[in-house]
Amino acid sequence: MSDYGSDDFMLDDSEEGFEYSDSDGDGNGEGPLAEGGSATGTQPSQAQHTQTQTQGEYSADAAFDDDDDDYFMDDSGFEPVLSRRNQRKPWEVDFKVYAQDGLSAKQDAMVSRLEPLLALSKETTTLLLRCYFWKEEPLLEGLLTDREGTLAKVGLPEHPPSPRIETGNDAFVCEICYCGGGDERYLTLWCGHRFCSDCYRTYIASKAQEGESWRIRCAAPKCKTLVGLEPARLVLAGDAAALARYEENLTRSFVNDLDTFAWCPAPNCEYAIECQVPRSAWATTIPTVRCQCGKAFCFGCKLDDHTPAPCYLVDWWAQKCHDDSETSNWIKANTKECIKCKSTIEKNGGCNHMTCRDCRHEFCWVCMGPWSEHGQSYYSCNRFDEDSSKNARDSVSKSRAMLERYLHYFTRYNNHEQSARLARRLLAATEKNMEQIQREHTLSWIEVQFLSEAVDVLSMCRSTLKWSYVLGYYMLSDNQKIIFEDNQSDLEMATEQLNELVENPISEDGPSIEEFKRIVIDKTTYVRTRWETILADIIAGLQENRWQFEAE
Amino acid sequence: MSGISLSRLMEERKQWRKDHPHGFHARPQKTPSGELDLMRWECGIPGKEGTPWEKGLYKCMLLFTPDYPGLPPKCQFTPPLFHPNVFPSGTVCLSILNADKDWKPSITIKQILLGVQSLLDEPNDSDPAQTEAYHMFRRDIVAYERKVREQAQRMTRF
Repeated sequence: MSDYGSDDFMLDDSEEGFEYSDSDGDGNGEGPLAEGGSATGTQPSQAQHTQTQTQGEYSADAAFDDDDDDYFMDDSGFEPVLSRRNQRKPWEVDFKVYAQDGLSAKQDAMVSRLEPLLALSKETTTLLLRCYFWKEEPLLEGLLTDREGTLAKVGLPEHPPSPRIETGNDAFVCEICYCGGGDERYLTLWCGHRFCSDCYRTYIASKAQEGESWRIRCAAPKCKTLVGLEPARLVLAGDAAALARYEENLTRSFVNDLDTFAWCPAPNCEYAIECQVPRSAWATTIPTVRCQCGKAFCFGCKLDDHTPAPCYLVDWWAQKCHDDSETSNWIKANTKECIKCKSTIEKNGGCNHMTCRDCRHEFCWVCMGPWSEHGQSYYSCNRFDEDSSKNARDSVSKSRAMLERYLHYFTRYNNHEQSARLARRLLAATEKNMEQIQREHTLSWIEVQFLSEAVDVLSMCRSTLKWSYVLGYYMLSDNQKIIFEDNQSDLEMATEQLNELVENPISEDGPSIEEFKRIVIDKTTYVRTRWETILADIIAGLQENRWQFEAE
Repeated sequence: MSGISLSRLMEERKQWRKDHPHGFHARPQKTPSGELDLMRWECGIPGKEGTPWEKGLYKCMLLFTPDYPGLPPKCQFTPPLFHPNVFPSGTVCLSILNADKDWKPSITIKQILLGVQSLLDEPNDSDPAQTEAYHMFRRDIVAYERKVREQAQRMTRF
């Protein structure tokens, strides 16, 4: 295995079993996700590492079988395999959820896959991988070009001896506690430094308490040798709590060190998510993932699901809203601007004859025209249509228009956010309704599920609509935007209609239950179609660079 | 490392009395009742020959905690020293005295004091601890060295 190329290793990734979940299209990732916690695939034998074989396998393995192959192109350098099974919607990304044991298995798998190729011991391979932040390519490159130097970096021999706790050396004195003699149990590291096992245990346990794991170094002054996992486990064997902490830190460091892994941000959630969408693609793809705990979030910014707005727009928008929203509402409602210097003026009493405090410009509050033309009519302004007044208002309205524009989008964004919150309450009400219908019309449980499905679709659409207004706000006006807004308004209208239907279920004089059910199902299907259409179009537009966004 | 701090310090004392670098001194203080207080050592560090620090003897306290040697002692110059890496309180900023950096439980008092001695003439640019010495060191090295020599004169052991 001396002539392995980088391609082999990239391909191996998929064999590792990134059986990307959530290709069942329902957006809730319940499909193959259940496997997330278990070990990920079997270890391929070395002989399998050939191009020809992998091509066939991987296409079925879903890692490269979609049209988003671009992600992998830069490092992998092989032809994309054409789609054979494309159940994934264009706006969905592949990801995988891992529980704690799954993460351990994943680490083990990565190590044991590389171990025979490097012809190094498991311990050395593990530490090397961790030193290289689990990036195989730079590690392989380093080893191929300068094997000695790369190993020296970690301070490890190729095959470190298994650590043993020794005793019976009369000459031994521990330089930490200065205990010594033949009864003293001590551990010798590869660097030759030896300390008694009690001191080592306290040393490593206290480091583990601070969150350290494999980065712990030999206890001798200036010695940079890594203690290593095996010796650490050996000395911690008597201290279950510290050992558990140490192992936890190892996993924690694994997830933190890899760009393609992230912890679920939900409080107290212990799952980690793997998502291969690279940082460079976050502008055109929204890497929305859904944890086993139910939390949907963006893998890029770790915020709540914000499909279909890309992370950077969400960032701009958050900044904008933080700076403006409430203040600008008030400004709009209560103030006008001086025509000359644009100072914001609140009129809190007095007549219409205004004198700007900043530039001393005199104008009429009603028509905004210059006061010099008003003569003596202090209390009634009848000059609204005069040219000078119009011009004055135009100049003001330009800056006001910006504000108006922002508020237009913000109001709708906010409206959908609130409606989404109400939708959750609606869900509770709907469940009651479903029970009632079940009782009154002697329908079975499955027959009334159409209502809860309608509510699910509603919440989905609310979230999408909400973020579509952020897209709209930054999108430059052109024909493409008109199409976008048409789609948006279609979905919005349909969503409102469905909302109304679900909120006002059957009454005495309304349609029969069968009729009602048919209407709701029809509407739900329609809304879902509109939703899929707009999402597919937005994502396609992002990837084709069809939308032009502009920061302010 | 609870429990072993006292026995370790006792051993440190034994080792120090057996052998220590020339010009240095380090001895545990006495408590008001006259007992030996191994947690507080009074030390003196000579400036290296051939540097602006020569002829000075810089007094400092090594303050240990029950967590020693898991955690390093605090090293504090009394009176505070004019030096870029010494805080206005006199506390020394040095990587081997920082548990998150290079502190190891096997570092001895001798190694600490030698480390601090080296720091005197080799200040660490990236960890300034006081503005006066740091800025003078960066901007006007001649004035800085003059000031260091004055300080050495003032703190001379003779």
